[in-house]
Amino acid sequence: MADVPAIRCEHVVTGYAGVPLMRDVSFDVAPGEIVFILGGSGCGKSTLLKHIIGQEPRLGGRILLFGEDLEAATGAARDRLLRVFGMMYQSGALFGTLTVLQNVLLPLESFTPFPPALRETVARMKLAQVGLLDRADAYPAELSGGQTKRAAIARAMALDPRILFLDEPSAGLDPITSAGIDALIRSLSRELGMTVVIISHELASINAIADRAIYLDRAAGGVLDQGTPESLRTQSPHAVIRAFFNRAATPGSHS
Amino acid sequence: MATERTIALPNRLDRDALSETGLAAALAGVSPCDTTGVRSADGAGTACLWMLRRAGRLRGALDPEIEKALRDYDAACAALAPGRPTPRANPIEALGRAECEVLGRWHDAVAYLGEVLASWGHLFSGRFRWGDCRLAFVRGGVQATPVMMLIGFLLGLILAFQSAIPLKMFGGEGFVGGLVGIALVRELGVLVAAILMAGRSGSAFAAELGTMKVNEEIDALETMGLRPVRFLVLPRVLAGTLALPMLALFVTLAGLIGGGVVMGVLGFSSNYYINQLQTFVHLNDLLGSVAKSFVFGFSVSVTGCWCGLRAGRDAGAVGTATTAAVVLGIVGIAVLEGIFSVVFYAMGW
Repeated sequence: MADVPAIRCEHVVTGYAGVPLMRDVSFDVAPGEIVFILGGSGCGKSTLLKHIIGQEPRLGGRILLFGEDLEAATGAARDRLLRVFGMMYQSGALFGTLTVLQNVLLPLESFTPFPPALRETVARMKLAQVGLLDRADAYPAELSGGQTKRAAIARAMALDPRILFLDEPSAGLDPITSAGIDALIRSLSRELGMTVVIISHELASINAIADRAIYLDRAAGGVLDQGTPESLRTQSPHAVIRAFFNRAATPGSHS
Repeated sequence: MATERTIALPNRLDRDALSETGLAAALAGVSPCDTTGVRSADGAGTACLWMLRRAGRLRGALDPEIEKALRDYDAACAALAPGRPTPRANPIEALGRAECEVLGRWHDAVAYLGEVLASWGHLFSGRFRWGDCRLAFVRGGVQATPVMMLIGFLLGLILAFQSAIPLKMFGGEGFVGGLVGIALVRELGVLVAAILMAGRSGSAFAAELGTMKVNEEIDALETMGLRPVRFLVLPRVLAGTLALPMLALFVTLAGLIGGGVVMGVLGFSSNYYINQLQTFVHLNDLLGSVAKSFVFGFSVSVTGCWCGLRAGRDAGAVGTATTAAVVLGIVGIAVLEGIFSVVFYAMGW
């Protein structure tokens, strides 16, 4: 089992409504890795993420989570696979009529047989992990941008998923809050052994916590290059990737 | 002395172990738990250990990593500022607050109404959004015509049948036409059209503007220096004000046709029915009805937009705004109808 990747994408064709965006996306993510998915705006990063979490049907290829295909799974098997991962949406997607604590409690109430006291302790611990315990009784509308992201991460972690997907966790945050989120992600990965897949363009975050980065390119139809941030910055044969990591402008290079 | 049974916790204390073995339920008991075998714990397992420790039921040493997680949680709890005791609500203060809130709401409503009325000059500024107005007129007026006419026809039909029964007892079924004509032209045509418009267009205006409020589009407008009343409210209010007279006329016409059908069933000719209408229904009745329809249309549209602009920012805000638009719209119609009745009576109409 040790050899089974947390995520395996095999020749995945991404796109919506039969219109392909990328024709051959292939990569593996090892358990416990922190991987960033990068690429120009509109190249299909979020679409790929939706295919991976089974929210949009892929147009071809295979996606395996710990060796199992979510799209092919049905019934109880699909429900079990859905609990393998947690997802944090860019907006947070917290339920506005529930408090932060109730948001985190929701998956625990729905999917565990725990007694109420244990459920609440788990939820409060998750909030403590993201540094939001003192805002447990606040409503999402009362939270700042960084607090919303933290609350969303706590909810995504409620069921102790083995994979955590984060869509732009640092977008719109100040550098200090952003660094705090990075530290949180790193500690979750290191202490809980969680696999983390992040869609983000934040170079500081990539350099700080990424084990590996995967660069998607629409013109290439899939993965243009992948590796550690340092290797991509210095050794990538693709000028656009070197430019991305060196924050240099390359006219016309982005899709 | 009875010996306590100790529960040996598993090597990996996680959600599955807690769920599948029924351990979580067993831990709710009073038996002490031996942690010497525990090598790892996920969030649920850690929470479980924390609760057991607090209850003084942990036996044996803990893995240093797990111990650290428990200490971190203890520290997070301790770091919380002690909650201030909730002050007891002073009834006089609560009354004052409620009064201020109501007065503030009235102040806002009057200011909003004033801004709407003052912005009519914008119609001739050359920058009025006629496209939005046309769209609102088509959605709220033209597309509503079939359902309005259907309800108007059925209303006339029912009104005629229901009045024919008691009038027949006195041999007065010949006056059914006049009764239907007066009722529809003076009151029911415009009233039914206005209530339907409150439910259909007033709620739609509130939902549109409420969604824009939730999406911060209205904030964006204000930031750009654009007045939401001119940009969003005025086109909808103009459309609603112009659409309701048209709809009221269609409802009235359809109702009169419905009444005519019943008169035909009762054995009266169409000429007799038209003659009855000409005898009983006067031009003043129609003019009064048209005047009311303009005011009702304005009222329903202004109320719908007001509820949308005042919507909150949470998930339920749009629903609340929509409900308020319908309720306030209908209340507004009832109040205005009362005022018109008094005014028309004083004018001798």
